[in-house]
Amino acid sequence: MASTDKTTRNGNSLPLVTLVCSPAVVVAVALPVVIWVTFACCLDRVVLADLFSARTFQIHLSILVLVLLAHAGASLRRRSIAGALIYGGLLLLLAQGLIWYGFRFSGVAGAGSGDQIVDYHQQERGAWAGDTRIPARVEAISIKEQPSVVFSLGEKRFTVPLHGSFNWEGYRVSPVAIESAPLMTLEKGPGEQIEALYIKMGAAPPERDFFLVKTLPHRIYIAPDGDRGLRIRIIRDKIEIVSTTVVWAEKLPYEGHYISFYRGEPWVRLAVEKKVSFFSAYAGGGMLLAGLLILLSRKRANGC
Amino acid sequence: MRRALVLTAPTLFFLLFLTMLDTDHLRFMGAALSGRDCPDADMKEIEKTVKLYNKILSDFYASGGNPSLINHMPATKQIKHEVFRDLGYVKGVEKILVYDMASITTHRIRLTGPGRAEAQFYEEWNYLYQNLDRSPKTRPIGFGRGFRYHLVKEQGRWLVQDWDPDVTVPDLSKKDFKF
Repeated sequence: MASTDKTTRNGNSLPLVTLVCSPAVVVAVALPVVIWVTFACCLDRVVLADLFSARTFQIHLSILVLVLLAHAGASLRRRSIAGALIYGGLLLLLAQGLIWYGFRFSGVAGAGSGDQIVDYHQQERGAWAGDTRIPARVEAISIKEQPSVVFSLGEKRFTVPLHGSFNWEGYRVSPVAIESAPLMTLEKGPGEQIEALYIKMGAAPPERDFFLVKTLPHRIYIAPDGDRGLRIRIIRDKIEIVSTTVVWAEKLPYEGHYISFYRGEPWVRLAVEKKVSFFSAYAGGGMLLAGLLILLSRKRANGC
Repeated sequence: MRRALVLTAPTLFFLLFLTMLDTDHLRFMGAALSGRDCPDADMKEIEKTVKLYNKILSDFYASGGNPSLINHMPATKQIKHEVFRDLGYVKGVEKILVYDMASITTHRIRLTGPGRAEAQFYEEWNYLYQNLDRSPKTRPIGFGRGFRYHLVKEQGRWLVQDWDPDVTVPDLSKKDFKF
């Protein structure tokens, strides 16, 4: 019966096992990962998160982690400090990539006076980003000469100028624009109000900047029209019902309803970003460098 | 020989698994690499999907909301929900909407990610409202407008996920189909 031992009778490793344990295998396993990432970075249309979502890439990355772990373990057994530092460093660099990908978060939130930062209009988040609600409350929005926002966070109350920022548990919150939120009222018949809402204008890109009223199927698009009122377009499925300008407080009839807009309140657009720690990258880079330096100095000492 | 095999095996396996598990990624990367908006096969599939979506949409309205084709409509649950909300509204005001697509012209189709696409069309529609006894309530009205569809691929099938009126699509009507 054929032996399944890793070593031959005289104690030498089998050629295949030697090959699998060689640094060349690490390079071979890492190569497709490096090519895949390099391709994506060169193409402007590709979002990195899309690339990492490929199952093949994830499987391959897991194999690479296992190979690096095995090599780091083998180096430690051989008491090769340089090898352990190099493979350990590479593992930490990979871990940094995973940390960044899993914990990344950036979003755009909107909040009016009295609102907490919970309503994200756009967000880009990793699987482990967790709860991204910020317990800060917008207390007041000033649109005078120097626009600013007053926040409260627990007992603390502080003012942040427009384009300034504050930090909270690894998040960076920055007011980036102050927009208007007109008050919309909807009546079914004269005086029979069925809905009243503040509409955060400019929360979405213009082509998607519509709102829906709970009880009706219409998409209502509004945009500023100078100081006198708003441009309004109402569509139901693909049919345009209304496209006109409505002045403040005017009652605009459509399909048996009356819609009106009143000058409303300001709301602030906030850019929220989670700062991912780069400790793993620094530690990994340091270990890799140290390992390479030890290797280099040994080669010099051996006269290679 | 064995050494070369061991060293090239990871790349070969990577490519093999990509073609087996991540076809959408491969197609998207291929399109991005070649500078094309969308591979031909996907383009045809997306055109077919949007046409079928609009055909079933017309049928829903013409039948006064008969849901027999609901499972054939290539759309996400959210969109189907929106369509039936509108159908319910039209029925509620005792009208039937007869909706007919006169023409559809492709402006641009592009993959925006693996299994995601955006498609712009110029569409011409005719519609009229009928009473519940099918007598005409309005005269036929026609309109032409650009639309941008957002599509996702689920279980190998393109589905309309959302759509918007799109003013950036030029008037591509060749004939006057409209009333």
